[in-house]
Amino acid sequence: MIVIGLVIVYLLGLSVLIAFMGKDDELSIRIEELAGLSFLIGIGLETVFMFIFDLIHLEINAFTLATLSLLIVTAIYFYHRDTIQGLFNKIPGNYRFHFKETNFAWGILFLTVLIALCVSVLKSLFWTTAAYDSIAGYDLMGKVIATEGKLFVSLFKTGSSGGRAIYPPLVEGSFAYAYLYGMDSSKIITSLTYLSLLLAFYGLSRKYASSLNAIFFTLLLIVTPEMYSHSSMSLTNIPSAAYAAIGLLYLFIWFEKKQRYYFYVASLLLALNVWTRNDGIVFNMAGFLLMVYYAIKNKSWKEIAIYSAISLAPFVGWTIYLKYKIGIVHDRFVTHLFWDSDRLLRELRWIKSITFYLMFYGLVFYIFIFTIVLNFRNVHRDKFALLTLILISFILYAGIYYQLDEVKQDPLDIMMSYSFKRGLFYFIPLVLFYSATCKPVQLFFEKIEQFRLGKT
Amino acid sequence: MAKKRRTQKKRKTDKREIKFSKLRINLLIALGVIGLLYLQYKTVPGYNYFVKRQVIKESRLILENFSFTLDQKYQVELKRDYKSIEYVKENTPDSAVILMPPPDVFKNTIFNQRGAWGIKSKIWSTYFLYPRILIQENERDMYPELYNRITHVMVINQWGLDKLNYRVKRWMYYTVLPIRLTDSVE
Repeated sequence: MIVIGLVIVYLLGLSVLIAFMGKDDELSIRIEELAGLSFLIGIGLETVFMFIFDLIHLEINAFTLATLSLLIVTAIYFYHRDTIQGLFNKIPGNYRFHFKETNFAWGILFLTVLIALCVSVLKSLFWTTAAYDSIAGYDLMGKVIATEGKLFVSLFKTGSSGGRAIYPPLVEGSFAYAYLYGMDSSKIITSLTYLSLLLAFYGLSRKYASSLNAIFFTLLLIVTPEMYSHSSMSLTNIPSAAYAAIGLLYLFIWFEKKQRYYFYVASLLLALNVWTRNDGIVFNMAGFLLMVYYAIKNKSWKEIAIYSAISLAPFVGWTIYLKYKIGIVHDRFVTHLFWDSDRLLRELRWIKSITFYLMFYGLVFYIFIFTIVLNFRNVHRDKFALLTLILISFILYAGIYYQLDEVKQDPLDIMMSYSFKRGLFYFIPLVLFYSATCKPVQLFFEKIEQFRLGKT
Repeated sequence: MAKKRRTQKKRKTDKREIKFSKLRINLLIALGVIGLLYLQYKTVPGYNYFVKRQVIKESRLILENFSFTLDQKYQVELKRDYKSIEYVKENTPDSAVILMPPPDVFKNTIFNQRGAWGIKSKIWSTYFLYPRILIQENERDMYPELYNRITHVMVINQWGLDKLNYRVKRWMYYTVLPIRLTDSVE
């Protein structure tokens, strides 16, 4: 049963991507990218359908979701038949096998990634849901949504919902999706989300980097200890990192290549990012600033209007839903700006100690700093937009913790040591992508490639 | 003719040598990558932890316990709290509204004391007991209608026995009992 459900998810995601591709023949899309994005977009849209069903009082179940999804897939198929036929030409697929030319180094790194991924999936599917945040939040909501067929479940009326139930519904909705299709556990969604993040990251890196370079940085992504430990837990941090980071990377690629496909995919992914966690809004804001720059530079306001409408709609929609349907207003922040040097210093100390702690993030942030230093002369020319997006998002994200109201929320030290630590997942794919694709690193891997092929 | 053949043979040998050296270079780079991975594993504590703990130890643990049932997995992870919550589940109908003690009552008991998880948390317990409804003693004023519908009481360390409309003679550390005795229960 779940196989049918997952096929529908992949088909839905792929159809939407095809709709965005249109008739753009210049597009070069990799198969890894398509596989990763199809799941992320497909499962995200299923939860949007759940929200719509809830609003119109239509029962959420496998049948209603499948019907709507397949209707959309069919409609897109009929409108974009030409694109589908041409899709295979757009995927570079020169997969001839020559033993002597095989990139053994790539093979070793790929095997390492594969082993790590298999263990993560095994852990995820073998162990039960045990994380408190999931049992008392996302997975609980997923189970109850699947049972009651609506988002505004009975738990809200009996005080059994808890703080996590008011998170935007992407994660809990995706867990509900697994239960609706007869699964005993929702962990398969966690594993597929993680796999999709890795696939999309590798596919995007390959647009700029050699295969060895891309797989090396994909390995660095998977072996990041803290992130890896979360890859088998039913929490929101890995999904939100996938949507925010890949969305922002797509926005950057659009900024460089100006192809509408990247623009729409980026807007949709960032929309699904705030459909996962509210704090992901900082990435949409960073993207918005990039759009403002683009609008001023090109005197074109159309893109910024579309971007704002798509990427901010879920945030606004969910806030209204919380207020008027569930009756809850988010008020965990100090709403005015204030200056507290002690708090700021304390936060900065936390940021430094968490970010550069080798046990949590390995060499990730060290490599990032190292590549910026290495690229210092060209830093303003080489992927400066991406670097700016990363830095603005980081400042805004740190700002959220500065503005937290300690009366309504846990103290800063607890929030930093738990919440901020996981929040850094957002940045891992971004900084690794920057490191992988900046000129000196690209050059280094190109030299290796030339040496390998005997061209030097 | 012989010269031509010699040249062709030489070209072939050269080509084979190039291919062979390509293979050697390829292997050399692969060895370099293995060395780099080993260096990272040896020198960076996070990666050492990743390999030893997160990959090797975890997979060994799974393989050793591969035949575990769902129930056993929960018991390994959630210990006594899970067993107790299962006991409540087995002894109450799906439609039950269960009164549970306020969190203080769970202090210094055999149940989990660390962190937020465990039977002491109403929402955590709801995960296992749903569709049964849980209400805590301190929520009486918040949900008066629900409070009046209570069918069962979770008894912890004698707490809750006074809520029953009958007397229980036996000393009870942990159990769940109907709030009033009906003929069938008697």
